Amino acid sequence: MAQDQSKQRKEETASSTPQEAARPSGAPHGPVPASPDPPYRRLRVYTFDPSLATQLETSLINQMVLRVPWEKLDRGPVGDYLAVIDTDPPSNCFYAPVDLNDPALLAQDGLAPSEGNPKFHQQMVYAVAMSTIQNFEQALGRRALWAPRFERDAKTREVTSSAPVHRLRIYPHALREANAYYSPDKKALLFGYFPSVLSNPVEGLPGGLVFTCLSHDVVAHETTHALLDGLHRYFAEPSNPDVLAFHEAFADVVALFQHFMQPEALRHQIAKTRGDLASQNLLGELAHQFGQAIGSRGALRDAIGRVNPVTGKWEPQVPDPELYPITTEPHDRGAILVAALFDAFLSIYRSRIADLLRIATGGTGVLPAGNLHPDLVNRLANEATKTAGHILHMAIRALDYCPPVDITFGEYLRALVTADWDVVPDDSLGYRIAVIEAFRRRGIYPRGVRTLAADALRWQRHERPSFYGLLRELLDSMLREEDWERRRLTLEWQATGRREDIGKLNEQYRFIAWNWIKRNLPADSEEARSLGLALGANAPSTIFRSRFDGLPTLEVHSVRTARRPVEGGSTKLDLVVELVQRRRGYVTHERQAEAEKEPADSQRFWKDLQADFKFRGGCTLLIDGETGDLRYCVLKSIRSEARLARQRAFASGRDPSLRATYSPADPRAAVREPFALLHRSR
Amino acid sequence: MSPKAAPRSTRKPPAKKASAKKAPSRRMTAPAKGVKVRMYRTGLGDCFLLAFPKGRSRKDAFYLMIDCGVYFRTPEPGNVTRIRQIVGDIRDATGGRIDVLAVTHEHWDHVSGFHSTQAQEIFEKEIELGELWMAWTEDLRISLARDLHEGRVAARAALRQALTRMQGLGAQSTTAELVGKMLDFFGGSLEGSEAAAGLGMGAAGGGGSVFGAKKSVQTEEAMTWLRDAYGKDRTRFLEPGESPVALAGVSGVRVYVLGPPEDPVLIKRSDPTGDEVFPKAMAAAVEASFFAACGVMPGRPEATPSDDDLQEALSMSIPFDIVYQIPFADVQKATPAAVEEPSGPAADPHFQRYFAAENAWRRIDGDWLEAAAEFALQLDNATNNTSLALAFEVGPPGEGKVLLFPGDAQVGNWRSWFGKVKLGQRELGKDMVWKAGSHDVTAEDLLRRTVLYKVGHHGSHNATLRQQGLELMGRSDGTSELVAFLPVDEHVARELAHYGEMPLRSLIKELAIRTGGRIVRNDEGAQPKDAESTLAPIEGAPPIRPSKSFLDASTELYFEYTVAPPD
Repeated sequence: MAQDQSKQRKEETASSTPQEAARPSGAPHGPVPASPDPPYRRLRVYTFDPSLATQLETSLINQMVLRVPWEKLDRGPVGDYLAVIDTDPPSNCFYAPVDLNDPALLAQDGLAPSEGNPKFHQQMVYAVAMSTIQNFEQALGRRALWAPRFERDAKTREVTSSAPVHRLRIYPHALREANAYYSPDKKALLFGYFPSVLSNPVEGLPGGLVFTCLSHDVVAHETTHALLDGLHRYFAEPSNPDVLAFHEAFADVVALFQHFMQPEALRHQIAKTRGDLASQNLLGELAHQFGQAIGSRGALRDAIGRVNPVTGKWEPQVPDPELYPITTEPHDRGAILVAALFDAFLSIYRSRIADLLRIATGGTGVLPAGNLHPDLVNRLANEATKTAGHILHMAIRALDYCPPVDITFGEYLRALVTADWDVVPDDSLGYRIAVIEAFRRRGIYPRGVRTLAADALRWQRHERPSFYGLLRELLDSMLREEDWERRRLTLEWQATGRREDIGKLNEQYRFIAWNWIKRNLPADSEEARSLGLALGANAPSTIFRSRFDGLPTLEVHSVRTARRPVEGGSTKLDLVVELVQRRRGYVTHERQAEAEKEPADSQRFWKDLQADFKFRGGCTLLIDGETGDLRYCVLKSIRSEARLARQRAFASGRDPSLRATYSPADPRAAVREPFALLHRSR
Repeated sequence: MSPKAAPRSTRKPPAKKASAKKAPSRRMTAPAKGVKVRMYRTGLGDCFLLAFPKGRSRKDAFYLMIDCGVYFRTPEPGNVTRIRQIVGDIRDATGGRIDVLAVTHEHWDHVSGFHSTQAQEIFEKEIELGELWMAWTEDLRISLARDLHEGRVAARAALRQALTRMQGLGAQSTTAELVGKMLDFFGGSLEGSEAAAGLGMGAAGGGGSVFGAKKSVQTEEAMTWLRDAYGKDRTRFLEPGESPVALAGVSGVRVYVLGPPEDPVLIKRSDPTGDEVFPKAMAAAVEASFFAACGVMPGRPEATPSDDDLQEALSMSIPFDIVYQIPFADVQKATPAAVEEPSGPAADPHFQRYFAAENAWRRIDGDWLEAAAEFALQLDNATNNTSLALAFEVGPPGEGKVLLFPGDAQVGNWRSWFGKVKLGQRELGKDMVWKAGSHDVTAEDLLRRTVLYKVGHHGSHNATLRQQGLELMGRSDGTSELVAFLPVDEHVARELAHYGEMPLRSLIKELAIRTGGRIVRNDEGAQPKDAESTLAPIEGAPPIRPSKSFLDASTELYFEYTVAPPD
């Protein structure tokens, strides 16, 4: 997010300004101090993708300069977050890495956009991925981390060890096909290139090469997959039809709202649509060139409308509550969630510009024919940028309010409402109502709420007073400990310090939390049960047991901090703790019942009663970092038989795909790369 | 395969070969009316012999044979030995003359018997052929047929290269497994000769590239022999929708040609109703780019590409000007000598990130090859969809009973029988109505009157349609005359071919319901190995009846069944 927003940036409370500030200012005598590192590195990129250059109308907004946080960079570029390595296995070669520290490049905002120079491709994937990461860090107030690497036993696929992954790999030219994906196994983004099959030859050269790494949307989408996987690893496990769809939707939401942070393009499109962003425009489209190149009539996806295949005309989308229950393909289902958030954005934008329009029209609010005044365009663009930024941050912040497993769209709605409530208790601009309304119009409801009022959707505070003191002790026990360099632990560990240390520290905090729970939370207590856990010996037999004490296993999935602004301009830290257990699930009710009757240590679980799927459950705890109060407990009980039955129906109901017929042995085969832009096998 | 060698439909077989008349007791007789059908038990593979009454004498029958093959990896003696035994029996049963041989499509499990390593010699020397029937897709004088054919040749060569590379990378991959299986359906590989034929376009990357892709595989050899030798001057290429074909000297029988459709999109699709985007993404240009990376350039048989052509294809397939390329090998060679040369790419620490042992898990050398799975499935679908699909009607025109032999037609082929297929705003294929007597016959009529169904593609999930298929046949109470002939060997399919759901359990269930348990399978009598087996009773379906109870004959070698015309 690198544009003229410096004024607005000051308002943002959570930021990840680099730690350059503490340099001593120049002494009166002695050597001239080195200049401080600049806050940003300016890099040129294609605004959306190279296709805009082919038309006179859009060629002016074809490129822009992104400002990404300054960091020490090796050739590649290889920095603290990303390592771009440009190998092209189908062509059996490498491409030389770009050196962004070259003075010639520093002086001119990097290489000029070019399809024919691989070094520019490297520069662009780096810049777009970094600005996506920056949005995440600003919204969450902490450093972004990648998912750790798991080594698995070749036979059982059980995790045997894990190690933090410092840098995400980016391979800009990895595939020769119309695809791109984040590979959770390799912690890498792989981008493809392919000759285009244009349905509309006006747009470009038929057969000309299309590079997915030159599409802002594709890069932002795949980077977001990686960021989300780093935060919520179990969201890659399809336990209900919403989970993978959520992954896709979220990746699209980030790519989409980043469009509104590209000022030239935004002003251009606002002028063109005369401020009506609900009409067809480039901002609401995703992967325009890619969509054209694979022969569809419009962009790959469009949040506000689509080209009617019969008439060939673009039509705005009408929310249809019937679609949500019957749409199962993850990208299509995800598009419903994207459309809902975009719809909310449009309503808020409209209400925010209503006064501007009245001022500009002498009170009527009805714009005269012809072009808008450039000042008005600027002001509208400002409002659009602000609104988009708010929605984007709201969407990202909500991730800390999600259950650790088995996410549904309805729960995400509750997370959105709760997260926003924590930031803006007084919803005077009606953001929450707009979001709820947009979801409702698409038939997305959370389970188990009585009304759709914002306060009913907000996660409930945990009602057990016994927890208040209890968790204070957990915090204290954390802050008593020291790290490997004998530094006292703090709650700031994820926002300061070296990024590569954070992974190690996370392990330590998880370990402290696990130990504390084992010692202080009585296994058979009401407290444990109220957290959706089953820790005692009398827990259902199908819950996995520890080899050491025979009791149900408990995973402290994540310990992290969430920053929350409070009255008076300061911020507070919440501790987010995710607890997860797993349980054996079977596709038939009979087998489940049979398994439940076995003793927990039965050998049959390894022989004739092996599980068909894993059922995970637990909770996300949001703990006030000062008082130790349990602010929210987002439950996904491991004991819930109803949820188990739903997952069973989902696991057994999926049709064998074409590919499954030929290679049935490994059901994972069909989703080996679950985050592909297009799924290879349908 | 010179196109001139196969003129359309000539009658008169030259009776030069002295047909061996042996063992008259093993002659297959024709019924007085109707047709007798034999399914030879090749295992996982098709081989049918139909006998129609001709003239006065019962011995004087019209023999029509459909396919002869067995799955490539079937163990001996179920493989070559078995096929030779079966073809020997066919020779005796027909008295050494087959009036019509219909070959449905280019897959080993349908044509292996015609290959020189199997029973070609018996056909050549001891069985006289009246006419060879093939689908129009095998008529290489037709440009679309030639395109499809060349596309298959190129796809096979590319897949073979992709497979070789995957194996070279040593990764255990479900994709490699799948590609290997698909290639098995073309009669396994001629890996040695194919690799040796590589023109060594080193710059394309990887050793042993095959630019031009001219090498045939065994199925193609069998097809070529059939078309250019055995069926030379007596081949008839059939087109869907043509007037019902009569059999010379046989009254009261006509053959309707249902497929393959004359539309490349329908042929390439396993499911024409599915999402529109992806198959387009796999369009020719994308395919060509992938194939080029495997060192294969799809070409026309008449135009051998010159070096310049190859060079141009190669340079068009790489994404950047050649000056940007740093060959993989130059970087990988981290030899001390290379390191001593400080400017060399092998000494560059940037590239060594990629090759460092601790980062081996993040390498992506083979990821692009995963797309080969999609091409392999497409190749398989496209080949099955070139199946010659035939319906035989016995009895009065437009009112007779129907025997349905769809080959291995998949959804694209099958759907086209019912007329134009809608895909977005496009319509593919054509409407087909046949004139038979005073009736206008449609595919739906034919399916409703079907009394014998040769189950498509050995009972897989995408070769028998539901609404426009099985639900039109028989009756849901099982009281109709419908029988199903299912040429499958479940153990071979599941354990050797690794088809998990062949036959598909829900299909067997539906077949059992609609036939009242009258399913004839090549593996009758085999024991189910687990509860998933379709050889075990299926809940909610009538038990499969022993074939002896409703067939004319049920031997270790074949099943025989008579369909009488309606009264």
